[in-house]
Amino acid sequence: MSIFTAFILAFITGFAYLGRRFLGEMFLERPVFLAPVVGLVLGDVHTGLVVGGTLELIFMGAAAYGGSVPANVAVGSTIGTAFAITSGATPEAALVIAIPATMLGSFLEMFAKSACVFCVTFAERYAEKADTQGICRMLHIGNLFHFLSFAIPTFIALTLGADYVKILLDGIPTWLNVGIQAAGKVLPALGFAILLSTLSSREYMPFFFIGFLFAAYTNFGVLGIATLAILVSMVIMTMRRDDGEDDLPDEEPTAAPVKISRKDQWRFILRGCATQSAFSFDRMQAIGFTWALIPYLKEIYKDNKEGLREALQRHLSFFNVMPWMVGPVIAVTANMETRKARGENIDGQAIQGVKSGLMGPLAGIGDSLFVGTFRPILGGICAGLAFQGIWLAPVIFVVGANIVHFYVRYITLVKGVELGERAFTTLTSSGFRKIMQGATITGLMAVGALVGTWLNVSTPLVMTIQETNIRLQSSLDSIMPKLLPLCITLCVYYMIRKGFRNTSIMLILTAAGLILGALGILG
Amino acid sequence: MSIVLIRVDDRLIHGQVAAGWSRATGATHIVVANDEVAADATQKALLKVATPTGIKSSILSVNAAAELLNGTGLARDKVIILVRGPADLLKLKKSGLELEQVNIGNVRMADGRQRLSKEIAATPEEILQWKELDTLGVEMIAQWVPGGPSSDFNQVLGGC
Repeated sequence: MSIFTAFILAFITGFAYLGRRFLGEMFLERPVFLAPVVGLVLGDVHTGLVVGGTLELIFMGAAAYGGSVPANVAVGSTIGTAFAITSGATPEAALVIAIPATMLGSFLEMFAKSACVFCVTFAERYAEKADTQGICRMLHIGNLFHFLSFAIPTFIALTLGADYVKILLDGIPTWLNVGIQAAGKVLPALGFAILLSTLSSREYMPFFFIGFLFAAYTNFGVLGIATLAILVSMVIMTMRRDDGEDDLPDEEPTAAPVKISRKDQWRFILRGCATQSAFSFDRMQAIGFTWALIPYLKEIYKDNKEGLREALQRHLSFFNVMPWMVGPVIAVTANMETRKARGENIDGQAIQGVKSGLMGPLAGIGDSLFVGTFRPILGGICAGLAFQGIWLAPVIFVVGANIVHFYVRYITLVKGVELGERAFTTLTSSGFRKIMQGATITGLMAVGALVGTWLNVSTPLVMTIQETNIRLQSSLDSIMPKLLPLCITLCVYYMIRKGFRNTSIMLILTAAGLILGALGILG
Repeated sequence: MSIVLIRVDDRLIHGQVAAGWSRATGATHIVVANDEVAADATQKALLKVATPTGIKSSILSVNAAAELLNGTGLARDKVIILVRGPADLLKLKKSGLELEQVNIGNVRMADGRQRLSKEIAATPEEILQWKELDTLGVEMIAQWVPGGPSSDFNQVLGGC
């Protein structure tokens, strides 16, 4: 691979990851999108689609809840795809490179998040001097850390690694190759099981099996079953009255909402995309959140440097929310800051308190709905399209995800501005819980469908009884199609519930796949 | 009643709890014990919305939570208890609640706080409270998400 190509790919990888920091979590780093892009650069989109689809399924459940660092798929997608193409290896063999590289990815992410602790420290010094320029600088430097910590290792791996990878991949004997293929087929069970475990509770579990049975016995496909699931949950939700959740009494609005101009609202929406910038372990989204407010704070505290200084310091404290859901917090904060700037008696602590009170639950809602349900289902559907070599798959994924993304950003901010804190009390009465329930049902049926469609584990074993050859798989199929995939997923699900580490499960599955595959038991 | 998780997390029900712990433990009821939140209708409403589907939640003051947990009201539930800091945890412990093992998620960093681990920062006062919990024999594990890396917080406390 030429230095130039490696440079381009490293830049793309860094940028895709940076998208999470600066562009509002657009999911550009997901394998189903990134791998085909790498394929496009190297002139082999098809391999990119297949590698991307496979990695998407395996890492479907990898989600960074509340600042935790799961397997990071950006580096893995790029390196895995690039080496599969340049060495002419099979997509399954690409996993041999891609999976360890995802671990490297999470190491890099932790490195960048630790480095950004310094940015926050410096930003605080600038805040003391009410130096907004300085804080902005720290945001960009922090983002540069994040970008480079992905781009540089990717570049090095691509330029120096090619020869070693070729030797490694060429050196794999045939029997092991069979094992690797089997392992590649088994591993998506981990992604499905993690997703299942984030969605399931005892009373909703049947929906998983319904989704699975539809996939196993019909030709509905994942998209068809997901659509059916949405309709089913709509019917259930209209038929069922509220399930005993106690409604809170309507509260009197605490204060009239402050007028926030259309222009400022748009600025909040756009700047809100950078919430995750310069993300550090220490204060997480503190700098990003402050950055979104800076122009507004400068306006309302125009002749009050002291007020601006205090506000900047106030917002450089710990903050973390699911990035799509930042709008309402910005709206409510802007409202309180404006009133404070006007001289109303609002305590700085009270503003902090409201922010802390909002961020947890909003993150909970966003993570359950979008990170834990919507993104994996869309990813799973698009991975399926990718396997069929449909080049539109990554486009559908990113466009589809981001239509919802920016709509959520828009509507939550506008409603937040319009209703102020009342927005949250109306949430409970407007049947929002029902939407969450509907999403859970849809999610569970879709996971079931994914297991029944894209977990292609079978057994090539042939038994000879009274001189007739019986294929074990056809006997299994006559009991229930896709029985093996279901059992494997439930086993992994059980292990997750028993507290096994994700990395241990991944190792166990890989080992089991390799051994059973090489022995000709699984294939 | 079986308590499946006792967690210290100043963000209460957020992603790590909603998508992680509440599912991984198979919980049926989340009890949030915090005086401020229990008195704030907005926060209460939000926590209700953030509670994952299929799970009930009670958002109560620490005393009311202790009463509920020590009573028989949740006899058939698998319960997650959430508090914001060590002070509330001590109160629960002193109310007679069995606390053998505690999971610590996030206690945030701020001015006047010292970072003890990736997950936990504490004021000098809180360090004393953590140490008291340690001497009371509570096993404390710092861990963000199920299946993720964890560390022994009792040991961390020993070093400070």
